[in-house]
Amino acid sequence: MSRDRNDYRCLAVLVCGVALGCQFKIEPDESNDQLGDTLRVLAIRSEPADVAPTETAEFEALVYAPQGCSVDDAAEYSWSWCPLRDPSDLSCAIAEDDAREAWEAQQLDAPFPSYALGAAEIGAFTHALPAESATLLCALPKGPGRDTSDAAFDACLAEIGLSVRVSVTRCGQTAVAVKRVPLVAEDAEYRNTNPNPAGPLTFRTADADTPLDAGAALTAGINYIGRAEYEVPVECPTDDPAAPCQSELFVDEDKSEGGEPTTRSEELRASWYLTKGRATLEEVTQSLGGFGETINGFGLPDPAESYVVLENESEPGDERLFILLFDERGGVGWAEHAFRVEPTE
Amino acid sequence: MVTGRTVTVGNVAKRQRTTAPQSRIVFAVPRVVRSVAVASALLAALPAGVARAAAPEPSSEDGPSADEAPSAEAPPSDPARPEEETPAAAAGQLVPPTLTKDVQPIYPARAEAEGIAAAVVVDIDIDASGNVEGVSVAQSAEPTGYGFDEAAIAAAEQLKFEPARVDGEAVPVRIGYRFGFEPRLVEPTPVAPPEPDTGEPAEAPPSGELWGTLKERGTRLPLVGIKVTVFRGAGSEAEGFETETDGEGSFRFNNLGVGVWRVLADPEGYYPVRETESLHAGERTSSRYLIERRSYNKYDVIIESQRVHREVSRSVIDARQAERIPGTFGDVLGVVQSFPGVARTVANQLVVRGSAPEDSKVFLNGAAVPLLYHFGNLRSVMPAGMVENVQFYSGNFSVEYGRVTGGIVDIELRDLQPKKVGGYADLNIFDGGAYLQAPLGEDFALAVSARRSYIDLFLGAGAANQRVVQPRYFDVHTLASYRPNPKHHARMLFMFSGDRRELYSDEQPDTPEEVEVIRFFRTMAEYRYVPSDRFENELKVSFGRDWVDSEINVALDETDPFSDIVYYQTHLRDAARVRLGRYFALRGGVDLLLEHTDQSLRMAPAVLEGHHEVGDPQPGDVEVGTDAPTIQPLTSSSKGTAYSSAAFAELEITPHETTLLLPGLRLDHFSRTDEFSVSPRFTARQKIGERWAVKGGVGLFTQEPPYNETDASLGNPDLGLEKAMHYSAGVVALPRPHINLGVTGFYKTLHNLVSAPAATADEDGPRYTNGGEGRVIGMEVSARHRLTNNFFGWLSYTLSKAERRDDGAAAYRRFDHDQTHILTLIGSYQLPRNWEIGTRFRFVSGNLYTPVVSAVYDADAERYVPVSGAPNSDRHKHFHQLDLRIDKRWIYKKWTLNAYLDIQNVYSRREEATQYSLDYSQTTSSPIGLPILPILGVRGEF
Repeated sequence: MSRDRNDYRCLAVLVCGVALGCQFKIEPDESNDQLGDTLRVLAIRSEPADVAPTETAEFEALVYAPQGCSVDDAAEYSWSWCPLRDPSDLSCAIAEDDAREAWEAQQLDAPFPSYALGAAEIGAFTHALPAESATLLCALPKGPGRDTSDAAFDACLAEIGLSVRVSVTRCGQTAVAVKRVPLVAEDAEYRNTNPNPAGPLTFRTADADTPLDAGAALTAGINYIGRAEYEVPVECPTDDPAAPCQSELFVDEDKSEGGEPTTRSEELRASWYLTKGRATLEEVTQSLGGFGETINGFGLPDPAESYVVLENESEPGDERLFILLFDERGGVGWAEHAFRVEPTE
Repeated sequence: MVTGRTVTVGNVAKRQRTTAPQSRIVFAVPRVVRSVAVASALLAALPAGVARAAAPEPSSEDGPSADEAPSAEAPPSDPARPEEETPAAAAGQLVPPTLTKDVQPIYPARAEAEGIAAAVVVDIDIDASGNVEGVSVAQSAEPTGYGFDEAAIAAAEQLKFEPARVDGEAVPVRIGYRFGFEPRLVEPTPVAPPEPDTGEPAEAPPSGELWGTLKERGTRLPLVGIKVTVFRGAGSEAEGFETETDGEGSFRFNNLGVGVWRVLADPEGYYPVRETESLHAGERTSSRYLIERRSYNKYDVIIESQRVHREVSRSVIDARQAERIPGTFGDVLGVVQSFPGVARTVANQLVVRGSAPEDSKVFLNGAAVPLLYHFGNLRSVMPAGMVENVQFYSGNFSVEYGRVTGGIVDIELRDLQPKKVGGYADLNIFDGGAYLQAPLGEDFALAVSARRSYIDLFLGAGAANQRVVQPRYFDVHTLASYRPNPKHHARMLFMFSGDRRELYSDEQPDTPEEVEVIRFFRTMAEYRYVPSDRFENELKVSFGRDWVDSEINVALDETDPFSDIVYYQTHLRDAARVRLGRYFALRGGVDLLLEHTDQSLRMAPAVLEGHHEVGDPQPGDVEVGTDAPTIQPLTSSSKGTAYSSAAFAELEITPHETTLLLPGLRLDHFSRTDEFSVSPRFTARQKIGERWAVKGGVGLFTQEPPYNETDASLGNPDLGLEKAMHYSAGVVALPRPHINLGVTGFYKTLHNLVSAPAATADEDGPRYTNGGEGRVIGMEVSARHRLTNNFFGWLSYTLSKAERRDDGAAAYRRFDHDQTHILTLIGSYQLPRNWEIGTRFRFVSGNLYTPVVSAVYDADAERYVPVSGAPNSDRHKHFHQLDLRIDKRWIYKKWTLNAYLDIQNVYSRREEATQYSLDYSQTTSSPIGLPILPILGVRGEF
């Protein structure tokens, strides 16, 4: 948002807000989808997407290293975890000592697992937590302001998980990211799987939507449409083109009395990250994009595709495009595409 | 009140029958006419050892404090003199000094030779013995350079008076005294002896009549008791007569010889009238003279409450002065922020001596109101015509006030005493309004007003992709006054105020994203009874209702936050004062407050002071690089009735005329917290010499937490009272009669503050506890130059440190609104022809904020989550701002037009906010707040 316009809009806010408590925020100039000179962890993927008892989950991070960072400068990883009782809580408010003390107080058979998960590129966690651990974790002190109702306790048991944390250091920068990993019962019927956005990526000219050859170099100053297809089963209503499409990922276990299983749906969210250039704000699906959603009036009629218009006005050179796909249960998948931008003729 | 007096020089030749005594005069010598000014305003600024004149309107509160920050029309009282009690206007009426030794000033020779007339108004400080203690020029002669001022001072210093008295006791006062220099018009001529009575009727010469009225130009107020002179001829033919105007401003000259007469009237403070009238035999010539005042500056007519005060930390600001302070847009509370001890906050909250905004209260004539100003401090909900002054207590206030641990602002209603039907219409960038007042007989007076904003029309034209704020407000008032005699005075006020703000966006053009509504009405009645100088009683009753509604329409379903609050308040306060002999007086009373709240809301939990995280609103308005996480709202639907009852008593002890001791005790009961409190307080003042005084105070102050903090769903119903101990000590000096200096040190400890326990506390524990503590230490410096020689100004500076310690925390941290340095400079200069220019400069330490020390990327939500450092551990750069105001008044026959240009932030200095990069690894400072903002307004008065 323009600062100048803000100046006098501020008068309006002054007029309206000082007594009534409304606040005025300056929107950031940066865009989340434009990768710059900062080391970033764009995503963490758990395989499997959820963890059942006795299973070992492996964690992988999608790391963006800024251009100029030598490939010889290897990344250093440090993986850890902590109990996660509240899906919205990433702070690991339960200190290890507190959890250990509670653990020991319950006299659980298993030893208290260390929070450290290794320093390799891939982190691993073996679910050796006894069944009572969920109850223990959900009952641990939560501090003031937390919901201590029975409903909240039940919700905690249903969604208890891990907070997996990775710290990546490379080229003198450190990035820290966390991810929730659900813990599921041993006999869980509908396990989650990570979405796979490994479909083809094509570029088309924005004005004519003409497909380009795969791997073709793009010309600076020309807008292109990038389109990716995902291997996700989807279902679109045929009688209502305007209705959102759904991807049927699983069928809920619950049944209505005497009825048939209820079909549930899950929305996917696609995100694009560019190393250079800038995505046109009005059309980029960026972190808000996804199937069945409408962003700024721009619909996504094809549920199997998501695309972004590249406003390719940056300096010529190599560019990378990351496509991330998130489901509603913590499943993550990604793909990376590299292409070259040629100078304008 | 001192009344005007005119000293006439000249011999009476013969008398004619006129409506007022009409005298023939002989212009024998250069005339030096002196008069005692109507000096209520001048009496306000009392020099060392002076008392104050009686109040035109005895109010329930005291007069201004001697030690407090500068105020042009409410300057600090005598710091050296113990505050004597004046129970009421009737009882404490000041008997003005009378002249016992008259001294003629020497007419400057050159001025006399050139026939230059002039007038000089001097302020004369008269001590309790009637001797002139000091003389200063209040209004210089024009033209200058002739030595009029010096001649007037020399004469004034030799005058002797019978001292002024209050309740029979001689008291020092300051009076305004005018010396008028009028050159000789003709050579001295002996008055012709009357013709011997021959017993035969003499043939009367042809004559006519000259009738006229003198009224003030613009206001049409009659000029009473003004000497009017008619004269003609020269040498032996010279003749002249004089009379005075009556209560209607009328005068009559009967049986004047036919022909041309020159009419002369030269009221003090006005431009003289010199007209020529032709009289014809047997005819009456009627004329009306509209006389323009030399200055229509309202400072000239400000009448200060003269009652001697008993408060150590009190300041009074006249509303008519406050609305002319640069940079405030006419906002009186904005002026309060210029006083020592008051922090400057982004939202103009009232932060007094390190107390939280909710710890200070605003009263309207003693009754609490939800807001005194529309949309923050932009425009007052009270019209200027109905506000007499703003009384400010920074701490150590009387036991008469309770339920507050910080400071108090009390808005005093105007004492309606209109002499005619009058009023004004006001237009500015924000709103338009009108005010009308009228006398109804001898004892009644009535005033009505209405105002409506139209700023939403300007703000509605937003650019694309922007949110558009549409604020609207209105207020209506009726004020009635009944005063059959000085013993009885009753007033009643009804007011209704409404604020509504809507926020629209392109994405949601039909349904406002945000709606906030505050409406309230108050009905107040006040009766003051003063049967004698030993007893007085004041009863105040008010009833009102507030509506506070808000809604945020984002999801457009039941999950959207909202609040719907209805609040009723009934307040009764009765206070009486009894004089117990020479050394003692007792003031006591009861204070009852009944409240009922009915609310339903769904909203984010309130963020307590010191617990702001990045993304939350902070004192420093720290901006973040990404959206804050969604906060789960709390819901509440509750009703509650609570009452607070209190009794208070304060003993006034004056063992010596230089000493004042004020021990007091207040007993409170709060039904919501079901607690009693006993609050002892003590203040004292000791005069040292003629120009110095020391003062001090200590006391306990208590208050209930806000309603929502004791609500079972939102807070903790088991919360108890919050408490504060105030300590203060200071010195006041008057190095010059018009200069007041004060230094006050203060220390305040805060106990049982509502606090959120540390995160490691028991999950079953309450959301809030009374485990917070605080401490504030500081020093206030004030200097004031009262309005003399067309200039007034003040300086205030506060050095302070305010800290808090949350429940369970080991160490103190800085208070949200802690500001180490707060400096304000205000100056205003009156220019000829009703121009005035003023400026205000402010310098304050930067606002505190909690910095982000690191961030973690939430890989599921694709956003960075900031990790905050120690609360309030960093500070923005200091802030300074210059404001400018220019006033001009045009005087027309029946009305006046006042235009002002108020330029806020002349050099466009902006406050700073910290803006973080997306991952919070880098920060930049970005300006927030308003750039240069000129505001133009006009007001027509009649």
